[in-house]
Amino acid sequence: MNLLAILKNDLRQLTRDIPQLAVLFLMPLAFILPIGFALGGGDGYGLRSDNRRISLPVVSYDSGASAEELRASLEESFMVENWFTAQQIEAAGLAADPDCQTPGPACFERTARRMVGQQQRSALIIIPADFSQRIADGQKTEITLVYDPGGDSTRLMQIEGVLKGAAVKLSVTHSVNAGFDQLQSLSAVAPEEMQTELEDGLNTQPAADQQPAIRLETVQPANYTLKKLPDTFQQTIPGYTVMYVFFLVDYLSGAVRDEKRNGTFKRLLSMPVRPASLLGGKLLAAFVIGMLQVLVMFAIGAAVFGMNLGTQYFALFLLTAALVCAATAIGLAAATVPGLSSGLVPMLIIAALLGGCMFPIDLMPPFLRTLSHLVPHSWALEGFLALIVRGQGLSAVLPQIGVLLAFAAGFFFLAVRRFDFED
Amino acid sequence: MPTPIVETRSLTYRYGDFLAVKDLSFHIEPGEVFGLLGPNGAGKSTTISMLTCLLPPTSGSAVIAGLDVARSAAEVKQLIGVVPQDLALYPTLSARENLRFFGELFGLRGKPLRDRVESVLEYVGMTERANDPIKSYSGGMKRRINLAVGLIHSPRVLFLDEPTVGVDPQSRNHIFESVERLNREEGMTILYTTHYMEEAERLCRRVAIMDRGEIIALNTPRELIAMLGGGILRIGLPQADPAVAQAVQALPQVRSAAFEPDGVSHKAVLKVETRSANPALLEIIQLFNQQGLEILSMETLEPNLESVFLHLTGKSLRA
Ligand SMILES: Nc1ncnc2c1ncn2[C@@H]1O[C@H](COP(=O)(O)OP(=O)(O)OP(=O)(O)O)[C@@H](O)[C@H]1O
Ligand SMILES: [Mg+2]
Repeated sequence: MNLLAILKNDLRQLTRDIPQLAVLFLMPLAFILPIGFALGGGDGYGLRSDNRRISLPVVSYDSGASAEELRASLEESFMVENWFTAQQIEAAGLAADPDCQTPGPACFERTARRMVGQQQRSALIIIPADFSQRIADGQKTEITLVYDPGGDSTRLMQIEGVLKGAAVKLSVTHSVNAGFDQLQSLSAVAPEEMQTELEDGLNTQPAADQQPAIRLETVQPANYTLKKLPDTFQQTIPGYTVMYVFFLVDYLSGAVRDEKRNGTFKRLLSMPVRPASLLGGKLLAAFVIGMLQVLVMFAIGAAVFGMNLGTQYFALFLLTAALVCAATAIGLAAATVPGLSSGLVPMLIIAALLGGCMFPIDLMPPFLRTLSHLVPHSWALEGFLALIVRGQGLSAVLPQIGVLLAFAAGFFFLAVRRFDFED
Repeated sequence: MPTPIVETRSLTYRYGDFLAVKDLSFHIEPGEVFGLLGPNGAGKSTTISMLTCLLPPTSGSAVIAGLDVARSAAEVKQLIGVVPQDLALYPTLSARENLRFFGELFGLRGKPLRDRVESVLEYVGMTERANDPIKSYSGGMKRRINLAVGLIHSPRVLFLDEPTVGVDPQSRNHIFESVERLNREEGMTILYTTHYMEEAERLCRRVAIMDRGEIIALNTPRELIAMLGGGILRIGLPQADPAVAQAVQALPQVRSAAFEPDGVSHKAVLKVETRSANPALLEIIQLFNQQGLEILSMETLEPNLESVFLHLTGKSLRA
């Protein structure tokens, strides 16, 4: 099969082209990783070692098994504090406080609250006395998260995320229905296996109880509301992924240019290779690379940051394939425009900006929003957001898939008409 | 005469209005090394492109092993090996990877492919560096791999388009030896283009001399040189006096005499084609002595294809 030989040959050449590999695979990560680490992985997965530097007082009025379990899960992510030294209590100005005359959780709580107020701690967690008992009885209970609203919001998000995750894990291990509501926002932070577990739980106990078993009560001074944990990765990762998939245009047109410059196109045509196989092999190589890009980006998003990919894998696959087809066809078309090479990257960046890959389209003025429909990026991105963030299914993204395929067909048609194996 | 393996009839190619190859008719016998000798722009590469199914002839036809190149391109491509004038390799891949890839396109797989790759590497003497990327090779080494790719599928007819351009003497020798061995040991038919007459003389059984798209002479190198008879004299004179040229032309041992168009040395150079060099030389010196003319320099060109070309076209092969 000549097609496969050509595909293999192109992929092999890519492995020797470190700058090109870097553009296709490392650049998008270079954008995603700092943003990801800055905002923290929702549940701390993959970021544990980093978060251990964060001190988190956990005040427990309960010495039962579940309270211990919760504490243990928090310890995986943070430097959990269970008590303060006399010096710390004195430093907090509570040496003379009535609660602190005997050591115990009450004094610990007071000190911790004081420290949060003085910005020495980001938050504290309070586990009530009947916590383990109520879980054992299958009753609702609650954990309180006390935090400084003026504090470091990214740290808070991490703490809230981890706490949510830990609480739900606890609910699940105790076969308590975690509630649908909880599941939705948890999906942003939980690794996949936990999600499946949760869904199983839901299926066996169909929506008997819509309230989560463990309620997180967040306590804060008035006039401050913490926004719902924004799922940064669900927006950032598809954005940069789409942007860099379109760098295939540069890759493919460059590969065609090289093949002409090397004289290999001409040589191949004097061999028993049909021109269609020749082009087909190159297109297939670009397609495989594009699919790999998306796979790598989403896999890293999911593994490192716990980005939730939703459940619509088939729709996700189709949308990705349509996106990669569009990028590949545009690449082939670009290869037929002489002298385009140096202008290509700026054009790709502008198209990505316009398509909302770097900035949400919603923040753009209306005329730009209209213009954004002219670039395939916006359609691909919209499709990903529908599947990943809104949890919609295949039928919701059929228009996007259709438009991307139309882009692919149009550019392919143009490219084939103009294509020349020489010069 | 055996059936020709390559035969062209009035083969013609036009780039737009420009007639690059005119009415070419020649044949190559099986097992022959056939030379196409000509200066830049003579139409050698264009001819090869038509014979290797890269350019459809504007008119006329070419047949290889009984197959018309225009109508049976797919079959012809299996039979021929092409070594293009410009290198055609993947610079970031190694020689082995290049050869494996091209071999696969001819349907070679597995052990036969591996064996063939090793044997062509050995043929061009590149086994040792075969795992290094092409871009790390010298020009000559690249040329040798370029040749090896053309051999990967053991073609019956090999087209070599100026395979020694920009090549160091060592690689050049390697290429010569490969061509000779291929022809001698495998009986491969080879069409070899060049503008180095000494290559054509050494390698080719017959040579077609091409100029401006046409074959102006076709014969064995020996016969072509015999055409010249006595060789050429170049005589440097203080000025280009047409009367002198006429007087020399009139001498019995002289075939023709004319001043070369000379823009470089600002000297007048009289080019004299002789029937026999030594007697002609004597006659000329006698004439100059009698007339009291000064001779600034004197050069005898050994009879070779270069001088044949000069004789036929009045210009040098590598102007
Ligand atoms: N693609 C083209 N378009 C127009 N004219 C061309 C093209 N390719 C070649 N020619 C012209 O056709 C003539 C023959 O070119 P060709 O390459 O066949 O010569 P050649 O004998 O191989 O020369 P060289 O020794 O320089 O390789 C030249 O005058 C060249 O300018
Ligand atoms: Mg040429």
